[in-house]
This record gives sequence, C-alpha cells and structure tokens, in this order.
Amino acid sequence: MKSADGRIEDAVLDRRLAALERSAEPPPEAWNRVRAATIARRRFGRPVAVAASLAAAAALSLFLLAPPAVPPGSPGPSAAEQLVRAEVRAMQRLAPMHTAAESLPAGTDLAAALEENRAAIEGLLTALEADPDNRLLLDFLADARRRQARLINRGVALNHETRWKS
Amino acid sequence: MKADPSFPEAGSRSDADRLRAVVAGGEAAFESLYREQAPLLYPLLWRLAAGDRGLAEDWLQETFVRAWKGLDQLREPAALGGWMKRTALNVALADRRRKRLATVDAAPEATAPEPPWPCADRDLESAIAALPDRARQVLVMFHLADFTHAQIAEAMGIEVGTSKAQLSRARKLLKEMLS
Repeated sequence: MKSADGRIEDAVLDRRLAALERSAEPPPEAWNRVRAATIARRRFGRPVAVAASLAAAAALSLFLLAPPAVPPGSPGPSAAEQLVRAEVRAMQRLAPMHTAAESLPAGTDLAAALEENRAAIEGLLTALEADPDNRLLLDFLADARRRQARLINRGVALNHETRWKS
Repeated sequence: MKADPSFPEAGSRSDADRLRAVVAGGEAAFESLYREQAPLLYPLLWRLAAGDRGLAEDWLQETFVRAWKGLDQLREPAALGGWMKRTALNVALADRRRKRLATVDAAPEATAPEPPWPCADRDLESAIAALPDRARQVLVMFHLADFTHAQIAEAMGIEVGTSKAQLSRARKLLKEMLS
C-alpha cells in the first residue's frame, strides 16, 4: 500500500522488515575456520601444568642442535634431518635465547608443550590450505611458530645449564 | 531455531550447563553453541556488511573467537544469546570504523547482493544493502537485532538522538527506494 506521494506506508515497511529472515545457516566451511582458530588459541593459551619432561626436552633440543656425527664415508644427513635442523635454526633466529628463558612459566612441561604446539601448527596449516588468505589464521600460525621457537630455545638453555652444573 | 540432529544436546541443555562446558574448554559444547548461535548472527552480519558475504563470514569467525576467549567473563548464563549478538555487532562496527579511518568509503556494488539464503523479499534486502553505512547499521540493529536506541547509541558511541535520526533517515530512504 502506498501513500499519496507514492511512497510505501510505514506499516507496510514494518511488516516487510518483520518478515525478513532472522536465521540462516552459514556455509559449512565457516565452522572449520572457527574451529581451527579457537582450538589453536586454546592450545596456545592453556598453561602447561606439570614439569615432568624437562630432561626429555633438553635431550630433544640436544639431538636437534648437535652437529651431525657423520662417520667418514657414510652418506650425509637425510633430507628430513636437514629440514628439521634448518627449521630449528630459523626458529632460534626468531626468538633470542634470553627472551625464551624468561617468558615461559617455571615448571613448563617442555616436551608436552612442544608436542601440543606442533599439533596446533599442523592444524593451522591444514586450515590454511582451505583458506590461504585468512589473516587471523596466519596470525595464529606466526604466534605458534614463535612459541615453538621459545620452547626450543628454553630446552637449549636448560641443556646448557645442566651441562655447566654437571 | 532449527535443531541440528547431529547435536541433539543443543536444544535440551540449559544455557548455564553449556556455558560451564564451553568455559571448561569443551569442544562439543562450543560446537553446539556455534550451531545454535551462528544461524542467528549470520543474517545480521551479512546485512551489516552490505551483502559482502566474505566480510560477514570473517566477522562471524572473529565473533566466535572472541566468544571462545571471553565467555568465562559472562556472569549470567541466561544472557548468552544477547552477549553473542552484542559481540557480533561490536566486531562488525569496530571493523567498519577501522576501514572508514583507513580508506574512503568504497563505492557501492554495481549489482544488488544476493542473500546466501532463500530470500522472500530481495528488493528490501537490496535496498538495505544500498543504505549509507550508519543508517544501515542503526536500521539493522533496531529492526533486526531488537536493540533499543539507548543500546544502539552505546554500541555505536553516538547520542540517542543521533540513533533516532539515523533510523528515520534509513526508513525514509528505504521507502523511496521501494516505491
């Protein structure tokens, strides 16, 4: 119904506004994005409570960072091993050792934290395959990589301390 | 709201139980919250985004990230739905403000946006999408999110009178476009 000036009347507009859809399913991939972002955030934010595996973490960092003991005549390190070492070196450049040692709470279970963070990185990479330009996921991935660097450096620092004391 | 058969607990659990479960880190509870709330927020965000589907989905994602992080601050479980709606609107308004500061207003799309759901009144949806930013925000919050002018004023950081004036402007423009 229209008024004298040809415009629709207020009551008609109100009825049409009231009849608009109030509920609609988002696309299915929206939940995948939310899930990746929230689970990743929980993994980064959750305090690691039990200090049970510091020695394991130190051993891990020692394995990753020790120069390869290559007997004469044997083949060089595998491609996977080279990749791991390159990754560790890149992470070390990202987070200086003194910062790493200060920024993690005392009693952090490094092995568990490393494993949890690694799983988070994998989850983010999977989510990014479906949505490569998602800024939020990219930010989380950067956070996860920085955290991984801190964890590794913390393990290295502890390993040095242990060796100096022994 | 339409019940999701794969999440039978969504309609039967109380808000308090679900809130406790989400705050405790329960992924199933959070997914149930998403399945219930996302369909209510998505049309609002799509309209606030002037029919930009990608932007609406980004805002939806950010809303649930904030919910995941901040639900433990919610003291009144019965207010869960309202809290989610306010969070979604705050995400959208803040992003719009940032973009207004960063760039000049983008030119409106040449073609009317198509709602990503079966739509009974495309003309009205297109007219809402074509409204100026502030007028559209006030209209959507008032008519489609059931906010009062006082709530709109608080959310947008404007005077109550400004909210009323923007609503009047939006309705006048809609009537012109639909005539």
